[in-house]
Amino acid sequence: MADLVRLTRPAPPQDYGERLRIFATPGQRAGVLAVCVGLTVFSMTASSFWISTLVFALIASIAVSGLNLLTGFSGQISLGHAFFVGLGAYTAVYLGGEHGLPFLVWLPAAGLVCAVTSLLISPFALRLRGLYLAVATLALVFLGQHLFLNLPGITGGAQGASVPQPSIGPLSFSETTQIGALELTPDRKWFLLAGVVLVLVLLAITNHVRSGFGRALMAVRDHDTAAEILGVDVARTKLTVFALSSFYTGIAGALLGSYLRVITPEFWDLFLSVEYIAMLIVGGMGTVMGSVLGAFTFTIVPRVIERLGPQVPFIEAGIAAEGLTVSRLNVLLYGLFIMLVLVFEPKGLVALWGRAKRWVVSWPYRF
Amino acid sequence: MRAETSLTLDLPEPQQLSVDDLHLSFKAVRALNGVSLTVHPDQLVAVIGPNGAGKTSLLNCISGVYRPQHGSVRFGGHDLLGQRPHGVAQLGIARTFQNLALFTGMSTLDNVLLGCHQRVRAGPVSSALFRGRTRRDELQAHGVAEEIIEFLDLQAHRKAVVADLPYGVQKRIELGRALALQPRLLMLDEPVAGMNREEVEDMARYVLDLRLEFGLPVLMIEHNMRFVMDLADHIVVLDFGQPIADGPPAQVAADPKVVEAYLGESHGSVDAAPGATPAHHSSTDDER
Repeated sequence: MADLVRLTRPAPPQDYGERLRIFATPGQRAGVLAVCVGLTVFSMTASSFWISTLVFALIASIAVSGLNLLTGFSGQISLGHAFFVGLGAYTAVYLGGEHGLPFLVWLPAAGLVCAVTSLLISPFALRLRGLYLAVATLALVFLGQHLFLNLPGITGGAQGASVPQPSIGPLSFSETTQIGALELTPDRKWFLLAGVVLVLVLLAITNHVRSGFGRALMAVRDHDTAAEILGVDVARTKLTVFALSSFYTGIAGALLGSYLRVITPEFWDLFLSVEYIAMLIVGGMGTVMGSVLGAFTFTIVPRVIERLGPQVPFIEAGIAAEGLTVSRLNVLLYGLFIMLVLVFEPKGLVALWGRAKRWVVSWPYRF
Repeated sequence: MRAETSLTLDLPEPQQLSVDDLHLSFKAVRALNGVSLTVHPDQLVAVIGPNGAGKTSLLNCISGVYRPQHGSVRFGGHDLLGQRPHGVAQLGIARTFQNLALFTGMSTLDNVLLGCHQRVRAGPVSSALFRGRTRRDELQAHGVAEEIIEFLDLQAHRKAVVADLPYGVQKRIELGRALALQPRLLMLDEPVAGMNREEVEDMARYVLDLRLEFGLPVLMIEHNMRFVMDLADHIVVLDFGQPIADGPPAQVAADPKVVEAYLGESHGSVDAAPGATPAHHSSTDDER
């Protein structure tokens, strides 16, 4: 009898290291690695139009991953993240441009400034939840635009400010370097830089999520009373995640500003916030890869339409065109795309991917 | 048939809970009116009473969700009044909820792991690196969670999303999550409400095992009289926030005031007097 019990009920393994792995299977790891290598090879051969598209996608991925931590994992909607992206960019202008600090200082500093600012705001913001928080953070965007416009000493006012270009040691990001047959143009360097930062950010976020901190975030999202009863300090957790989310978003902002070279206050408007939220929802909230998928889709699709647009019949060219122009087609398809995803896959592209994978694995059986 | 559990789960020394003369009112409504009770470290105390008697309010006062206007709640050497809920949890009081308060989007394992929250390092910076203590704590938490999952026979549901699981299993997961706190006192709010007979008997067995293996003191609210009469060492009866009886099960069941509160008028004795012992009781006696 005792033996039977042992057979049906094996002792649990004593070491759970296997469970804590970032990639559950070797295949998963190989897949992610293949995507990274593939994108790098592509960026070393593609035209600068496509490389710059990828750079924008990578930077947006960083920002959306930061937002995901707050909105996706801990359930607090923020419409104010455009403010933090802008603040990050202007921190780069101030510290890197005005004070001439090196890139490796102003990049993390942009994140820290945003984190500290969010801590100053959070006593007001964190008393609210749900839609009320969304509206309160909305105010942040307008406040930010007002400040960006009216502090010309730092932001250059309406004329805009030029953002310093990164350089690490002898490696400058505004010149082309020749390595053997490989021509490292500024765009290609930017791709590598943004890629490395994104990988680091994703690694950190994956680690947040698989630790007690990440579970506390999800607990606050799913049931805050229960979280509190289990010993989770809900107020403190909300405060921390708000700051952490702003930190990553600020870093994305510094990179974005620097890549754009010249920034003006109206760039950091509500539309940018909404765009990030859309990327998050379409990609899949509360999943690490969802943010990246959403950011890539939303950055690349408009550029594809822009390229293919002139070949499509009925498309008119010229600024004075009255009919369907490329940019109007873009907005149309953009909206259509969001609606289709929300209707057919509310959990986002990440769920679509999961379904495709299950279909392949279980083929020829169907569920 | 349960496997012999060889739990290495190490619960800290149980503590005594004393509630003294608790008064709680919401505007004109008096939820609690001078409630006192003591849970000794070796006791299972049940609080019973009709709906709206203030039973859950009592638990909410103890765990820091409500602030009573008057009275005292002491646990070990600590005054619980004025503590926030997470502070009460840190002192070693775990609880379950009447209507379940699980994290329904998360897996069984994650729910139980959240019970271990106080014992894992959970800062944003340390978690970003996931090295050293963070990793060690995480491994340890998985060990504890896995023992509890085994103890409550939840292995089959380990990775299932809680929302997809049946009610009885969800009740068990909530008990598991409370146990993962490795508490000094466990508070159960209607642990068998809405369960079928088999599930009730399972739950009774888990509660008995808990007390046998860990000597965990329990404060329980329950309407299932048979469950209460079989398990409780001491019963407190509330009616409209007022304590009307207090004593061992046999004495309380025979109390005319209790009978009246439950059945209105005088109707003889309460259902399931101690004589009517259900089957599972004798089987647990054998195991002892």
